[in-house]
Amino acid sequence: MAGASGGRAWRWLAWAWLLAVLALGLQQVMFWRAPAIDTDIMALLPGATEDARLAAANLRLSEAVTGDVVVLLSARDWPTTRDAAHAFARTIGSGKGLRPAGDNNADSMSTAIAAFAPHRQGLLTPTQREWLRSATPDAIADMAMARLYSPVSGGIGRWQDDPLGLWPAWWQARAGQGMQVRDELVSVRGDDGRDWALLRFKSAQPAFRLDGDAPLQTVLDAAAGDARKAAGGDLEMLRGGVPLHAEAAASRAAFEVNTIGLGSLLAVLLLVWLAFRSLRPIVLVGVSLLVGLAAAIAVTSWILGQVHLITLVFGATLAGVAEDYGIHYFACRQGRPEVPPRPMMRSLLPALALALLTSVLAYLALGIAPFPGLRQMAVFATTALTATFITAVLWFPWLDTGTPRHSRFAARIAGSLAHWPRLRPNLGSGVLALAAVLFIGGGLQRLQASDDLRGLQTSPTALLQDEIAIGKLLGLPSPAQYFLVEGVDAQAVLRNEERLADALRRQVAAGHLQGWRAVSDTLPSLQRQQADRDLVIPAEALARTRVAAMLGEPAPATTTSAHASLQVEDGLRQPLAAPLRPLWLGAVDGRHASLVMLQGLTPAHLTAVATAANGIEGVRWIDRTATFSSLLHRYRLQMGWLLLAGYVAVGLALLARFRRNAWRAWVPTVLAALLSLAALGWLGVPLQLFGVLAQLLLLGLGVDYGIFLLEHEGDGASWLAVCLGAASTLLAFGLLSLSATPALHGFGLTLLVGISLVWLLSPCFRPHARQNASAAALAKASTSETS
Amino acid sequence: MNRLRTWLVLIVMLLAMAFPAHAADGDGVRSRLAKPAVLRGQFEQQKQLQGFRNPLKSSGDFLLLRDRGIAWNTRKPFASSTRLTRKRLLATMPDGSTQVLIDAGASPGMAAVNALLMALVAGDLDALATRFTLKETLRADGGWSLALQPRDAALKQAFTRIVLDGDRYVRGVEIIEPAGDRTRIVFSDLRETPPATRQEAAQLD
Repeated sequence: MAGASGGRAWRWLAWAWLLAVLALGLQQVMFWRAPAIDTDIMALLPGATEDARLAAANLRLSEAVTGDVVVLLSARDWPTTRDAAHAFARTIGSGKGLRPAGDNNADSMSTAIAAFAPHRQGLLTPTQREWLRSATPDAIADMAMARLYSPVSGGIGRWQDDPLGLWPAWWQARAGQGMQVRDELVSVRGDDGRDWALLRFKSAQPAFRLDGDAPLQTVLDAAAGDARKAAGGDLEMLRGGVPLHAEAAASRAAFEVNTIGLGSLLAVLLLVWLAFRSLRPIVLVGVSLLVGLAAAIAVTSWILGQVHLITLVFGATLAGVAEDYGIHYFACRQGRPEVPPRPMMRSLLPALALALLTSVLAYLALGIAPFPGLRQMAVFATTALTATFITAVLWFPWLDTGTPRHSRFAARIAGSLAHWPRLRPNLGSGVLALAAVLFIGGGLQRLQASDDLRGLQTSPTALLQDEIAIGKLLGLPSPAQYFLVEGVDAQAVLRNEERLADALRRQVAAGHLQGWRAVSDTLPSLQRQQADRDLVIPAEALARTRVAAMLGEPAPATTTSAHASLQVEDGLRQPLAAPLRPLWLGAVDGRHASLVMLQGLTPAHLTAVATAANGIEGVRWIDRTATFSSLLHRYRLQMGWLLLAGYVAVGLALLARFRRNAWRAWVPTVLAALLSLAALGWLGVPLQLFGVLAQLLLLGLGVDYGIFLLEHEGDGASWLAVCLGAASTLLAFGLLSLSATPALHGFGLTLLVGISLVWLLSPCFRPHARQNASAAALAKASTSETS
Repeated sequence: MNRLRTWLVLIVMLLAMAFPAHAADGDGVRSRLAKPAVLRGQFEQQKQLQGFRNPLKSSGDFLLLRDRGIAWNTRKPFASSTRLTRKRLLATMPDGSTQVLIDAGASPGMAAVNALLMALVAGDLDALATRFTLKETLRADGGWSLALQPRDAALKQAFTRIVLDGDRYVRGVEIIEPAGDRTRIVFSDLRETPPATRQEAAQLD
């Protein structure tokens, strides 16, 4: 486009761009009607390096397990707790957004027992199996007699069908977890003996709303108020569940998108107004930014299917970066009003294009790491910058038909360049340089690295604490570590699970673990069922005949028919197996797989449990936290090298264009990078992957200022553009540093410090007083320098 | 093994022994019952099972210490004993081997069962009323009977109905199970003395 000799090609392109923008507008109307916006933090984490079954396992974990909203209530005693829980459920029932997740499994108990009864003899608990293996015939007969003489058999069905009472004990082991149905509520008792009422609800709303409302929280708060009234004021409450996290993240992100986006947009427009005192630049810069953001959303959702919340928050800072092109143009128009719009734009093109290129390269480099979130940000930012650039280049000369106005604000900033201290070989500069070297040296020595995943955590602390307490009360397994069990078919998976369970039993005995959840505990392999039947059938026959002989009665005949094996697929269809279904992955990519989840695993015993399964066929230990950390580590190093390569590449590009003066654009950014890293060291803030990525952006954005200043040496108009650009960028990243997401906060802070330094340092490195005519004209005489 | 059976048995025994103090639906029964710290006695049990011609008879003795637990000793036709304490439920089999049936320290579930049993020993009818509906019949001579029907599905699997009768003490228990089996326990020689010996108390630590 730059090569268009006449106005015709330029105008054609401008019209074509208008068509594209109109289409974009249409797309945006469609998009915001039902925004495909992702709030799950796990969606930002990498999955590309995993095999199909591991990916399926992780997907299952993030989508299933706790899709419900869980509320636990506890007052001073059970009747009060019960009344409070009923009041809570009534309020929820009368409102919108949540409905009860009706799972009163008590009524389905007899149905479940009937469904499993034909398979009874193949279903044993580990204790029963062990006892039957070692029990003498006398012990078996005694057990049967004791059961016969106890006041109640406690059995299910007749004595002769289960003379050893194996069946009720198996069910007792299923029930576990200390949960019971009480007054039509599920109640749980904590370690401290406190009774809690458990309520479950399903969310009927999409999590993301641009207005930042939190409807679930509102409904829950109202219900909590009523429950507290019912309990007489003294009530403890825990809330958890993915929908609440999603809503909290969404409402916070909506708030951040609005403050950062609107804040930096308003700041840009205010700066434009102060500098140019005319409506046209405001409208044009505003339009170019809107086109850029709309294009970014459109392209991101088109390429990647949806846009993540954090991408939107990050993208909101782009208003403070993308405005550079428009502002640069208007600043130069104001500085040289005699040059008509189109030739002016043509003369600015090389600098603008180079600035776009360095920024785009920096943003694209974010996408090298296989983090879907970073790739999104890369696509988003690249598109936003490019679209804004195209809008400015094609439309501004076309629509800018007025004569630029002067403003005192602009003149004062432009004039300040001439007074800016310049680095020269004297004592003052030497002292400053020495101080900088000491600061950098000391800071870098103190700088520590960290690869903690928590940088991406967005949930409020209170919600996380509730979640931990709920997990402890309900004995929920941790989704961060688990075993992935594989096999050629379903039976092989179950057999491998059973071998793993034997190893885990030893870990529980050693106190390393509280327990685990596996499909095979309830639905064993056919091989194990057969082995168990081989233990049960002779033992029960012996019990019947021995007891009959002792009582002098004929041996009572069993009333049940032959026992059949239970297929895992049939078992999983039973309502009882509902909690097991998320664990069963079935056939994935030609092999079968399942998850074995762990309960009560503490960091101290992580290694022991992780190695417990060593050597068991088809079993893999998966530690997602460690995997993510090592990934963050690997990419922190890789991005570090890329950053160094980036400095070399940018240096070479500058050398090609500016020759001997290239270092003047390069050194300020290098210094800013070193100083901001040293600042982290002095402040004791560890360097994370996100910190390195922020450095990449600093390189991409910071070098622009040097380029503009060198391209138009001593030109006050360029300095004005740099100042306006830097001020709005600073504001945008300053606002980002207020983000509640630690990674974004760190990002914002690094860039806030880095960009400030580049802005202040760049003019110090400008060439020695060799001012050209236009600079002299703008910066009126007085070149009294203080250095 | 076979924990469910044993703790259900215990619930029934305790129902009979430690009979409850703060009844909501059993206020009449509560006012007539004594609440001794120590109770000793004999029991005789007769059980009619489906598929058996003759009833099964057994007998033995028991000791209840309201704050510590209960020891239930079957003497005939063979010796076995079951003990409930604050921490666990233990059974001694005819061959002398001991089995921990419930260990409150093992899991929240086991702790809940053990706590329910202990609540019964302490005479906490509130805990009982959460799992059974209670219906009392009072007689003019000071006698009474109380019918219990389980509320939740787990208990319904084990009992159809339990009927207690007595005066100052519980004198008899009848248990009807879903399979049609009936058990009748009659208590005799109930007394609040002598106090527990050190050895007896130590059994219930």
